[in-house]
Amino acid sequence: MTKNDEFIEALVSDLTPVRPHALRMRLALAIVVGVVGAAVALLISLTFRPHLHHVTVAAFWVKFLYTVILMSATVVALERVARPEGSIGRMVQVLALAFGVVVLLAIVQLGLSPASSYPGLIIGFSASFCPFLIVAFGIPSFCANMWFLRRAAPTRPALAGFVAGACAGGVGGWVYSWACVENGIPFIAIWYTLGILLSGVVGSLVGKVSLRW
Amino acid sequence: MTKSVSEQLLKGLMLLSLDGDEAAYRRLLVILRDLLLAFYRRRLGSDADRDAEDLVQEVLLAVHGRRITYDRERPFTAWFFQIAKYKLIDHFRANGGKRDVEIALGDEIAAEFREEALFAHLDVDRLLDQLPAKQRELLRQVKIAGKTTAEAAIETGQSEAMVRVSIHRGMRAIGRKLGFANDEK
Repeated sequence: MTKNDEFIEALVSDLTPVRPHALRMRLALAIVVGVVGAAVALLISLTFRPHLHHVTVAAFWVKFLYTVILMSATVVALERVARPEGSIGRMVQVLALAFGVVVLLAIVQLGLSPASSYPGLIIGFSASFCPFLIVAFGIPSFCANMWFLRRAAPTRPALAGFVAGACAGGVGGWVYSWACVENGIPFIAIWYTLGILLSGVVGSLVGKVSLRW
Repeated sequence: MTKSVSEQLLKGLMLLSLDGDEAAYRRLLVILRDLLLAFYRRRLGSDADRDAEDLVQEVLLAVHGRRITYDRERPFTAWFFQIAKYKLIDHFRANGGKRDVEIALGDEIAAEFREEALFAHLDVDRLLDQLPAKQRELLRQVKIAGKTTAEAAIETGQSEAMVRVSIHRGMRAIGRKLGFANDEK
């Protein structure tokens, strides 16, 4: 018993106040670090790609808003899954809804376009590397998210890792969209989604082994 | 829904602790330690006293190191219970080791590990409130106030045999709520 009492005394003497919303502040920091990291990656990549193509306003905003929504939904879920009793809430439904809307817009765009433009709208010229660049741009965000989670208390490591990865993919995709040269909404529905999903799957695998506490 | 006694008490202490109140924190940790020790000892068996104590320390250490993850707007007992459960499962995966039997045992104990059961000592009132009024009154008189069944029989105007049956049923009902499978058939 005495050993146990000493243990409690040690914890008590180590007590420091925790501010309200301390966990949320930490998450906000992780997200900011992730966005800045992705922006730096974007700037570096632009030096390899000096001439910008023309992007339609519609395509720009679809990319921008799609990734912002995915990012926001996963950030909210990340805050919850970081707590021992937390669940991801409605993340999956929100993600599915956003994806559904983009798919719908893609079908409309294909319907309004001549068949000869389909390869450009679906494959574009960057399909082979777009998903991987989204994952790559998300790496700083992923590291920041894992830093955040490792100091929190997620009780479902694989799920928490997936959310951290998908969120990093959302951040990477959002920043990537600032300078993406594709005009096809089908392209966004397929390759952006794949990149973010890939990031989530990698996150899940990493989380499974590294988020134990 | 009314909040349980344990929830009100423990959440109050936790909020004070988060603001840096050492006395409240000490009291909180002592209560949690006693709850966990009683619980783990009962579940792990008497020959596993060391295990139970190690496990309790691990849980308290996690509570301390990860208290930032407690959301002040949400129930404390649910938060704490999930940490205790996570550590219990982890304990069997890590120490129980390679043998399937031990992992299965761990899973079984974890499955029986319920929030209600952990906080039972603090929540006698809440448990009693779920019983029919007659049983509740008898249990209070005999099991808490310490009267004999004969005294309780006189007071409630029932036969002593009826009082015994009623108390037996009440105890079994509580056992079921706590997840003890002590029903005879």
